[in-house]
Amino acid sequence: MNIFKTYTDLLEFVDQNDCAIVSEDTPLLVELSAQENLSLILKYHEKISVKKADILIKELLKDMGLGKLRDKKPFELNKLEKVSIQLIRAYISPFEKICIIKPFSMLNRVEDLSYIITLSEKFDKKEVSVLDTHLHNFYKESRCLTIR
Amino acid sequence: MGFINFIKKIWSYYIFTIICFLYIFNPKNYTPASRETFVKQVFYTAIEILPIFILLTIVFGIFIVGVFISLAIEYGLKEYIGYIIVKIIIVELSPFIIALFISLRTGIRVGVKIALMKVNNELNFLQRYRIDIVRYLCMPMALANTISFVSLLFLFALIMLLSSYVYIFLSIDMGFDIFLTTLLNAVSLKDIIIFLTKSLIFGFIIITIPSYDGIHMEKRYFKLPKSLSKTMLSLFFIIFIVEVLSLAIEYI
Repeated sequence: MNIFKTYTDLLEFVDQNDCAIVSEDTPLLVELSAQENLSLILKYHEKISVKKADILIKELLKDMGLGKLRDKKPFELNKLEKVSIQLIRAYISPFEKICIIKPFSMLNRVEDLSYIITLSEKFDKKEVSVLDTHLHNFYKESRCLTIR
Repeated sequence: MGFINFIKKIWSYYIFTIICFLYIFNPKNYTPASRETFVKQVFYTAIEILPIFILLTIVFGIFIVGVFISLAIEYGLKEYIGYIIVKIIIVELSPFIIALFISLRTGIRVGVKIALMKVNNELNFLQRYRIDIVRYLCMPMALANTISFVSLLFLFALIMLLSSYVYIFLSIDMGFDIFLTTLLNAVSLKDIIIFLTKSLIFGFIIITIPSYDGIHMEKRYFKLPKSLSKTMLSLFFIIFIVEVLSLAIEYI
C-alpha cells in the first residue's frame, strides 16, 4: 500500500504508472454526448471510422447496462452516470491501468462507489486502482487495488 | 514593457499558426476524430449561415456597389468602373468584410469554446489521454475555416459582381460582354495572388488566434470576458495589419 502525503504526490504516481484517470480533473467534454465522448477515444487513438466507433460504443454501453445514457450530454447526467461514462472511457483508452482518483468527491452518495467498483470488475484486462486520501470500508474485499 | 509583451504575443500567435499550418501536411494528423471536427466546422462556418449570408450580401452588395458606381459616374470615371469593381470592391473590400463577419461569428465561438474547455478542465482531460489539441481541434478547425472562408468569399464576390452588373445596366445601359471585358482588363495576376493569399491568412488566423488565447488563458471563470475581449482586439488588429500589408504590397 502506498501512502501519499499530498495530492501532487498522488498525481506523480499516476504519471509514473501511465494510467487512464477517472477524476474531477478529467471531465467529459460538455459539447459531446456520452456516446461521442467514448467514441472520441476510438476515433483518435485506434483510428476507427466514425460509423464503426459509434456501433462499437453502442454495443459496449448496452453490455454495461448503460444504453439509455447514449445520447445524453454530460449536463443531463447525474454524478454516478458521469463517473460511469468516465470509467468506460478509461477502459477503452490505450492505457493499461485505470486510476480512479478521490471517487467520493465525484459522487453524491457513498453507496454509489459500490456500483462503480462492480462496474470496474467487468474490465477483465485492465488493472483498476482507487486512489484516495482516506481509508474507507468500501474498498475492503473489492477486486480493485486500493491505495491510500 | 507593454509593447514588448505585445510583440511577444504577436510572435506567439505567429509560431502557433505556423505549427497548426505544418500539421496540415502530415497525413497522420487526419484521424477520424479530426475529420469529424473538420466536417462540423465547415457546417458551422459555411453551411448553417448560408441563407442569412446570401441575404446580407445582396443587401450590402447593392448598397456598396451603388455608392461606388454612382460616385464613379458622377465624377466622370466611367472608364474606370471595371478597375473600381475589381481592385476596390473584390480584391480589397470583400476579404476584409468577410474576415470581420467570420471573426464575429466563428472567432468568438472558438475563443469561448477553447477557453471554457480550459476552465472546465476538458483540456486537462485531452492532455492526460494524450489527445493532441492541435491535431484534434485547432488544425481541423483552421483548415475547415479557411476552406469555408474562401468559399464564402467567392460567393460574396459573385453576388457583388452580379449586383454591379445590374446597377451598371440600369444606370448606363452597358451590355454584359462590355462589362465582362472591362472587368477582365482590370484584373491582373498580382490581384489574384494577393486576393487568395490574404483570404487564406484570414481564414486560418480567425481560428488560431482565439485558440491560442483560449489554451493559454488563466483557469478562472471571471477572467473569461476580459480574455475574450483581448482576443478579439488582437484578432481585429492582426486582420487590419494583414490588410494594410496587402495594400502596401499592391500599391507601394
